[in-house]
Amino acid sequence: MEYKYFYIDDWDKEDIAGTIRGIETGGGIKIEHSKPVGDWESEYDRIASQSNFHGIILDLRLQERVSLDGNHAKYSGSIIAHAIREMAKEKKINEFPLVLLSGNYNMQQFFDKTGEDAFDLRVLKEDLTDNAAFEALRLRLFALAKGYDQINQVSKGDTNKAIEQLLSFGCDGLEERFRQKIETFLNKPTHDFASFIIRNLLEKEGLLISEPLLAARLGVEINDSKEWQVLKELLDGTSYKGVFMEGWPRWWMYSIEKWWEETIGEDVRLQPISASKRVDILKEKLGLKGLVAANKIEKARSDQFWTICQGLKRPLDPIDGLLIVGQENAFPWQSKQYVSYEAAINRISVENWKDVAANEKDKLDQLKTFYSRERIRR
Amino acid sequence: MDNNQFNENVAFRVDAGLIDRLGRELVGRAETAVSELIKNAYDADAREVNVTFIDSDIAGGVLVIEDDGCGMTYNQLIDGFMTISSTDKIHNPKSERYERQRAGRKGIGRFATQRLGEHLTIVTQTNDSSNAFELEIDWKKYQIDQDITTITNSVRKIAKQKDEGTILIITMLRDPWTVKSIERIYRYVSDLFQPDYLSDEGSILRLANQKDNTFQVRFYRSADGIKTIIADPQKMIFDKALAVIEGSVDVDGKGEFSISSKNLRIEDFHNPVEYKKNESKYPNLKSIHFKAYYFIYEREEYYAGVSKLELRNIRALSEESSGIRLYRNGFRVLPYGEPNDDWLGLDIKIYSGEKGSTNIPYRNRNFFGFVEVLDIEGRFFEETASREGLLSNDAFRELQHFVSEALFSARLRLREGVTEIRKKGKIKELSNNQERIPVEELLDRIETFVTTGDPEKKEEAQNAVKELREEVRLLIDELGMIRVLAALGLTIAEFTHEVTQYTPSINGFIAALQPLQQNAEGIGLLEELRRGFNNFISYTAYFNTTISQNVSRELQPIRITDIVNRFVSAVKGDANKMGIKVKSEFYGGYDLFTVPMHPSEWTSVLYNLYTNSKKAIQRANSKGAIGIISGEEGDKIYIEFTDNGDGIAEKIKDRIFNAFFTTSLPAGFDAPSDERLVGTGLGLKIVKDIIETYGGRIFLIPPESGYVTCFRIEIPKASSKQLKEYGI
Repeated sequence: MEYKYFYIDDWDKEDIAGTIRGIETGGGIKIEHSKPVGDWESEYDRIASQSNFHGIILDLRLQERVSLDGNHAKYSGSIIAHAIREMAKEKKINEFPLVLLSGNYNMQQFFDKTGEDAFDLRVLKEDLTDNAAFEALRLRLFALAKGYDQINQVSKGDTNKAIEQLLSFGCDGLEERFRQKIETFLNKPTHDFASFIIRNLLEKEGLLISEPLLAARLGVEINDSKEWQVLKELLDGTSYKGVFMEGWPRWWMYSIEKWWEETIGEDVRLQPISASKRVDILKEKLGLKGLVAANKIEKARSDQFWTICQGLKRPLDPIDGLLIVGQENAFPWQSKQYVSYEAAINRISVENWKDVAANEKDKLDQLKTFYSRERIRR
Repeated sequence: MDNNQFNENVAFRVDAGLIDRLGRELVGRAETAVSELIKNAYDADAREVNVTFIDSDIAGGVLVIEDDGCGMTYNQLIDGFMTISSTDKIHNPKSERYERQRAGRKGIGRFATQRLGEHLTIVTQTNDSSNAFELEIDWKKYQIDQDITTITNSVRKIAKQKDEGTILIITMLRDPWTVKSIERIYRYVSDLFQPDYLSDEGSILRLANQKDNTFQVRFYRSADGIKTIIADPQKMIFDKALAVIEGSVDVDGKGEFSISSKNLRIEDFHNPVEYKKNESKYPNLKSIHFKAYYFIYEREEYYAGVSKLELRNIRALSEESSGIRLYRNGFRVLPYGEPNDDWLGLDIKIYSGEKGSTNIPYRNRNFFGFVEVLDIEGRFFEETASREGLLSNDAFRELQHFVSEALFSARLRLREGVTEIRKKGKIKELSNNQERIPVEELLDRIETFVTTGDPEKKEEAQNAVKELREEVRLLIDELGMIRVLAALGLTIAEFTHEVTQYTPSINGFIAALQPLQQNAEGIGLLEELRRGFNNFISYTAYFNTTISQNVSRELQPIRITDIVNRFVSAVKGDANKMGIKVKSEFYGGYDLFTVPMHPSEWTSVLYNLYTNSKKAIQRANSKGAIGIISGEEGDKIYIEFTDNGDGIAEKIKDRIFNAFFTTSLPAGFDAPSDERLVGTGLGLKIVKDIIETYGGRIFLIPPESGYVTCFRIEIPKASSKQLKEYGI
């Protein structure tokens, strides 16, 4: 199946041809570029009458270069997005995914956060730096188009059945508060449901965990472990198979723990043992000699890793970390995020974690004093 | 035609009018004529030449040139002097007795006498002869329409007048020769020989040389029977020069220059001068040397031990004898270095983009100098037939390029020294009046005088004006350069922003290429392309961020950790490529906040230091290491920027922060303006200005082991009040 995206950007084709090629490479996605029409009414009509695509990619600033009609457009990508969501609500058109693809500068200067919800995905052009970034975007575009179809088509009469179908996961294993919440979204417009799934399930560690966290919780150092891929395959049954799965590879934590119980035994629980112990057990039970245990971050005491340091992106035991800001409104099924002492006091990759939570500030100050460094001139 | 008998063999005949034509056309100027005759005496191994002008205030006077050279035998007189275009000097390039490199080559001396006067008497005798010969030539007889061979001149044997030597008596002089014009010719003749050897080759070849006291020329003037000696022309007092610039092109065509100035504390030797960007050697230029003494007039404060009067005298002298002269094989070639000659383009060169020029006057009159051209065989430099200049061939154009390039390179060095001395001078001046007077105060003083008209305040106001004028002049110079840099900055900002917009598309193509690759070479190339482009992106991204920070002009306390981390990650790719390890360390507390500053200012500071380090490491050709060590000490934040490059020479350590101090060469005359900005010598100066604006300082300290150079920046910590104010 190939999904087709319509891509509106005021730049000329030749200046964005590479971006398109990069995204399309790998297959499954076809992108058709067009400049904005120029006149808003005509733009509106064009979108309302288009039916042969599965999603739209929008540039934010459409007014910088000349439009199809020779004028500069007076509307932006967010205005189009907003109009599309309204048209869908009025049932004028079907729901389809919307992706914002913009330069960082324009995003900072011109993007109004209230328009955020209209987009399923916001991508900075500057982040498209390597093959992996293009590949990830391609898979997400694919997942979105496919997922929207699935959501649009699922029969919502039996909510639990619908949820099970969309998540490809039995409701028994679901955290109850999550189940209740997703149920409320089921009857909302497709893009609201999609947005809930993406932002509160796929992009927040908790019920689902990403690959680095999966490795951390198993105590495995991905980069040094030749047999990590083998272990991942063994864990295939625990991976997320629901809507948007192609774009967001995740594992059900619930299933991982179950798998551990079944494979390793009920008497040894995963969390309270050290990484090296976890890896030793995995090696022994699965015969995966090529697994290597992850190491502690400097200044950390425990290697009972359960989270990832947001500064260093390395395994961390939360007792050796500080909570980062902005998690007050997290849902109960979402895990908290931490930054290691080392990253916190040295502000390593601070752009990823902004700051520590207010109630951690004193502790941070104490750490700074405790670890203050005296210089010995050489 | 009627009077020609038919003959089967015919020869060319020469019309006598040719002599007059040759005299006038080959020897354009009277000075040249006299100097040609003196060269002849030199070639004849004379030790003394006396030149006497008799009753010459009006045309029609007499000129006697008497030398004690080896004279001419009868044969020499006939085969040499009387044979036009004789080749003796070609066959015998060196004089017999002193082995002097002979001056004249085309043998036009006789025409010189014709140029000077209507009638010539030659009395000549050799050591071995028992008598002298006297030859009389009446140039008037050489009229047109006469066969030259039909005009004869009388030769007589007369008693020897002296042991040996030649006396030329030219009568019915065509020009008047006043005291002034004799002085001028004297000066000109004394400059005939190169002032001194500039090269070993020169002395080996025994080129003519003013210091050669085996050859003396004296000038006399005789009027109404009273003979007076014309005083020696005032010799330049070269050791008074503000700076001495020397340069040379070696036998391989490699050029370099050196500059030294005690007063300006400049000693910069062996700086390369390149012919072209990709062709450093001069293809047609070899064995060239020059030396130029540089003066700035009416600025006696620049000099140590030169009085105002002396400087004024030198200035007066410059009216007539400044400029860069050219000596070919020891002899002066005109018109180079004459008043009004601008063969190096010093006077017309409008050096746009180069500021600071108001303080470094760089016209011909600021120089007393000369170029030594060694080209004994005349392979590269050919004099024109009139002996007035060299043919403008490739070699000559390269010579112009080299000397001019070297002088302008030297100017960059001078600029720094002068700017510094001006500043110091000002401070000294002010410290005499106890304290430095703030601009506001100066303005107040002027205002007081203007509003009150109090005559007692007049002097104070006048001084204030003077002070302000000086201040303004300094600022204008600096501002000029800053303006150029600012304009460039804006262009870079615009450019960087534009460029980054194209990167996703290029990245996309790179990504799309990946699955298409088949062979190993292709994969390798793609990997290189990706890596190269990633470095490019991290660079542009860093500057793009810096520039977007500039959009908001607000100051804020700067966390040194963030600034350094961001910088290190931005330059890492670049440094890696050059094999340089960049390492950062932090000491003391973790919240190292400076007083409110602009983040982009730190970009400038760090980037400037980094660029310097990189250059130093390249020069050292070492495995590069750069360390950025930050910390706190008392109420100060410090950053030590240290590298293992080739270090900073002791003698320039206290100059590196001066405006316009540079070790770079100037860009070519026709280089685009951005190229000219490289090595403006403002980098560290700007760094220092930024730091000092916030009450900090930058200086060199002994580096930690493993490093060679270490800059230390100290800047005040943000106060807790400031941090609170900015919500930190």
